[in-house]
Amino acid sequence: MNNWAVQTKALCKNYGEKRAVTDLNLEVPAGSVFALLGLNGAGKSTILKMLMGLIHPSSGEGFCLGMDIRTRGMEIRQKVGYMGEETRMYGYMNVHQAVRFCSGLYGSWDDGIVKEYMDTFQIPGQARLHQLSQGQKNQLALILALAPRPDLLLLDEPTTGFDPVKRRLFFNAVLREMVAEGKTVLLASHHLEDVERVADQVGLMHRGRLVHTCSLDELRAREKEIRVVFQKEPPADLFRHPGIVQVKQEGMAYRITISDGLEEIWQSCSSFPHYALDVISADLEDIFLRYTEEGWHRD
Amino acid sequence: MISPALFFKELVENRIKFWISFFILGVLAVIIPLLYAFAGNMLGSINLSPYVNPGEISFILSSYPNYAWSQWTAKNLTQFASLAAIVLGMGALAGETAYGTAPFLLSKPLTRRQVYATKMAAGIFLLGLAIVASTFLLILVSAMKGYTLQAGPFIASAIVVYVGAAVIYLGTAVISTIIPDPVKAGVVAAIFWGLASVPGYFRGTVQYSIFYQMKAIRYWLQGEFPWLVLILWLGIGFLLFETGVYYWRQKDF
Repeated sequence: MNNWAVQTKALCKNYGEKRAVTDLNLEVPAGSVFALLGLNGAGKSTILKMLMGLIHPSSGEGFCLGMDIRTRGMEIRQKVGYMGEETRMYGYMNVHQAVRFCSGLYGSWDDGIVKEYMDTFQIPGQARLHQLSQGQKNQLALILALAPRPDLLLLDEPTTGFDPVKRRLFFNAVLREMVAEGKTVLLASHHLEDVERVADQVGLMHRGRLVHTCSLDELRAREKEIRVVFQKEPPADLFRHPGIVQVKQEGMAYRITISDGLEEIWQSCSSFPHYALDVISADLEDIFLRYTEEGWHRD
Repeated sequence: MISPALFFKELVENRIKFWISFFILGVLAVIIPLLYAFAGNMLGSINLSPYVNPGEISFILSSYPNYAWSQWTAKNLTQFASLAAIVLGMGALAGETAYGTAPFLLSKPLTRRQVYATKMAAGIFLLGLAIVASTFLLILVSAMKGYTLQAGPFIASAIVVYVGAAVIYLGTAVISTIIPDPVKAGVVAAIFWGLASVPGYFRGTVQYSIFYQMKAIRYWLQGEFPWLVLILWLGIGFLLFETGVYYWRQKDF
């Protein structure tokens, strides 16, 4: 296996004229928790489904754990756990039957994981799947994805319908079984709090394109925000620095988002009369919204 | 090739369809020996319609095996096994699409061919079980009523019905792959197989009807087992299977 758990080269998916995913060049380092962030319809789910062989790519290449997604789908599915958005399972089965069914499809299966997390999530074994809440179904889907001990876990909007407690339990399970074992997680989500909790790498998706990829720390370190309240209207050229990516104004209060040249811009602002001047790390939501507003033109 | 876990799941999933099919076939099988004496008296005493061939009636009433074959293999079994094949086949693939379970199933370590083959194997197995079990029920109840039935030819002709029904099942499954709604797939399949029965209404084309061949008339009357027909059906079944696999592989979920 190379250093990439997932690697795609110019991967595309078209539905007629509509482009769901365009020229995707994605590299997910082995052992990382990589989050694909994007609004609904950005193409996140399509990418995960292409990796699992549920959707056929229109063009380009894709590799999971070094295996070609076009030719080695069966082997990929042996080693990759997948949890789709609002997973639908066989409602007439009870939980034990669903577990037995899935265990029969894999070469290896860890009953200990099933037992432990059934207890943790308090999923009743005799309950029919159609009787479970969507949150319980998602928890069960996670258990079924973890039990074969996959090397790579693909999670598509996994916490839909979760309350904060369940959300925490869910990610604790992911962190313990995958991250602590040095395995890779690829998460597609538009829940920023999920991403901030577990991800170390992010890829920002917009209209089928991957517009930016970096580590979460790097993104936070690079993207700073100066909040300043001036005593009077500042000169317009104050904001002409190339490192300023966005300026938001409310009266004399300004929020200046900076990707480069923080010191210089700080000096400029502080030299002008002001009531307050602070530097903070831009939060992920602001960064995400800015990228999705600006789209791929920014990069 | 066949996944045991998926095969078992298919058996469980189709159990209600199987039990209903077996119940109806079983009732139809049991009433044949129970009503034989009554039917014989009735048919012998009423004035027959001019459209009914008196030779056919006298053949049917000439012996219990002929009567049982005419009512079972040539009528009830052929008709209801065909219907059961459509009912079992219409949801085979369309069900996974319509109920949104296909992504869950196909994210497991199975190839699409394996999924398709396993589903077909399970459906054909259940179809065969309903046909064979109800035929044995007929033989058993006939014996209990004191009627002698030639079990060998009777079972052999039931096998002809079975292979024909399997072809109908495979054809319906192809439609179920293309149309992602079990009910719509069932309606289209019923129309398709209805059209396929049209040659059976004309003397010149009757032998091209799958439903006519399923009755195994020549085998029963002349003892010629329809090997050629069975080989042809196996070939058609193979082509239908490969066509279904092709469409199933193309689908995005």
